[in-house]
Amino acid sequence: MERRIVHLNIAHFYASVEEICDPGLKNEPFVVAKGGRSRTVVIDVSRPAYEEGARRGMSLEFVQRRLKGIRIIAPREELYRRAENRVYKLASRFSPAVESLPGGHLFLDISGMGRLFGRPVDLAARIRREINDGAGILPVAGLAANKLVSKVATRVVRPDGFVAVSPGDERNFLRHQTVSLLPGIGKKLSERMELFGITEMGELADLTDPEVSALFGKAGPRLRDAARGIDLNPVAPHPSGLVRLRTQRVLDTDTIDQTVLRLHLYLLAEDLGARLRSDNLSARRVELSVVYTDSERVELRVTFREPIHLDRDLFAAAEGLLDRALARRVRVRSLGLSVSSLMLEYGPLDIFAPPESAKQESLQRTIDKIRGRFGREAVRMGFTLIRQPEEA
Amino acid sequence: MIEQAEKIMAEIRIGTSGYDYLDWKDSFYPSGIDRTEFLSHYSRNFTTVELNFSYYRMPSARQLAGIKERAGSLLDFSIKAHESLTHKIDHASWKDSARAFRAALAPLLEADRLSAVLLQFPFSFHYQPENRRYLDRLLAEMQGLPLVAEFRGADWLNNRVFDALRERGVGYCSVDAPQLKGLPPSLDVVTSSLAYIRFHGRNEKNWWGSDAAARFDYLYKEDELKGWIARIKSMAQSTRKVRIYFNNHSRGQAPANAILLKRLLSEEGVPGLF
Repeated sequence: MERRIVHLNIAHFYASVEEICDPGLKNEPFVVAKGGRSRTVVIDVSRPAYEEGARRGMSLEFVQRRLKGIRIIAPREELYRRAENRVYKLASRFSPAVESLPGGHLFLDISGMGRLFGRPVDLAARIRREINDGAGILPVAGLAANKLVSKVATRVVRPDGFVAVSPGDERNFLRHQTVSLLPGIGKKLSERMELFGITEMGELADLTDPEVSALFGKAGPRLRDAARGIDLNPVAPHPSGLVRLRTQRVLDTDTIDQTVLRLHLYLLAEDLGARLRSDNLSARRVELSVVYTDSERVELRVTFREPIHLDRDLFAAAEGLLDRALARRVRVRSLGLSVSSLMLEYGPLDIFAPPESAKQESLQRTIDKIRGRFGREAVRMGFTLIRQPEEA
Repeated sequence: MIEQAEKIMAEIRIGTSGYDYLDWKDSFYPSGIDRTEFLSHYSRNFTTVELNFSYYRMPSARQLAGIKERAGSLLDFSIKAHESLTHKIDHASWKDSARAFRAALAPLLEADRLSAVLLQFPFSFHYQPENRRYLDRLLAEMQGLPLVAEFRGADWLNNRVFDALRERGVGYCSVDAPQLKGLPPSLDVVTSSLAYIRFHGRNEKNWWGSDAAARFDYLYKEDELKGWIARIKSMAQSTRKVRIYFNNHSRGQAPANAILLKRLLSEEGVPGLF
């Protein structure tokens, strides 16, 4: 069966949601950012602000200096999450395989839906329209044989547009596209490619294995295959029903000792990490709850653009939250850690993962393998050996 | 979430690519009608037409003035550029052709009845430096006209071309054609204040290796045109004019489909001068 994958990309997603809530913002330049903090970065920009040069990830201070008097809207994560869910539900009417990624990205596998909904090109247009009618947001839509090409297709025409790449024409379509439109090729890599005279995907696609390996190392052949439009990753839908994983430790003795608290926290992160990876899941949100001796409770959360699943990353997130949570000089009774915004592991990005990240991934896999065979105690992080906390 | 209906501000018109077809008699044209009456009959049913005789024969101002008169006061025109500008380019004389073509448009321009000049490039016009330079010079020579570019070669459909069209205020022609390897992807992108769509039919069997009559012998089904409603609405949200033409001209199928699309858009409540 011919694979047909739709990618829907809602440009300026958070800004678009704000415009829906306040139509007065329409056609106005504004940015979504947490104001009043130093080193704040811009989370999203409206289309007029984009046209004036503002970009996501710029420092708010820089944007304010360049665009005097630009309006700043505080982010409302709950609202964006609801909007994402709405779009997800609308898309789910047309396929059981819908993968939602942060920031207004959706993939749908519509292979074999012809009998129900007609030709893929018409179905893709219909899905786009239903989202426009049902959620008030018009996504850019790309239809192709795989996720990678459908994603590039939306990048070719965004912020508005629709593209249907015919089966078998993937490489042809990519040939003259700017190489930086390939997912994962950032500014630095793109500059490096330009240095080698590679500006179009076709120039990367034409390289042989030895050539591409010499220029870009181990990742080279896979980058080259991406430029040829090769991508076998399936659309990974949300695991139905599973929305959150949670674990908790009540301390044997209430304490304010940060070394001990970090140690417990690491074990919690390890526990969640193992559960996530055993189901091939990743999480975008990490939540920490701290209960003090006097029963007062503090809950904090952090949300990531890209989902995480390594013990190291989960612990780093939890540790950051703990630092913020411990504002009182009162002993802690229990720690709880949970992860949500779960999704099945998203494959294609790993081909662009920097070497350090690939190393960590490999290390984690090895640790999991050893523990799977010899038990959890067989391999441990050095600092957890300092003092063995009591299990609750 | 609060519902937000985007307002469609564009003026949408629907017509056919050409109107002077004898095989439309007994279907779109009444059987007893004289050929000289074709245009007035056409203009009672449609508000726009794409003139394509101008591709085969360099039009003259007198000829276009005559067509304008016969068409009544409501019909507006898109016109396909002469083959010497797109298919049979002679590097020594193309500028003369461009000037002659522009001069012929005067009656339509003066009456504000010209919607678009369609530059349709063949499959053999590849995305190569020489052709890119030519296109740049042609667009400069034709500057000031409401230009639209249609590429049959998929290699032109890249982000740099779209940016270049935007910079020059030139529209991109979206097409509906079979989803076959080698044909450009079905792609909508608005690059100027004019969105332009051509329906060529989906005759996959006869597309390659057949004459035009067989290639464009296709009648769209209602469901297939319904798939376009969303795309037309989306384009109409971000431009000022939308022109839609059916080129599946065999046996009166183009006007039949144009009428069907008019009905579908009206049923959807899409405003337009259909």
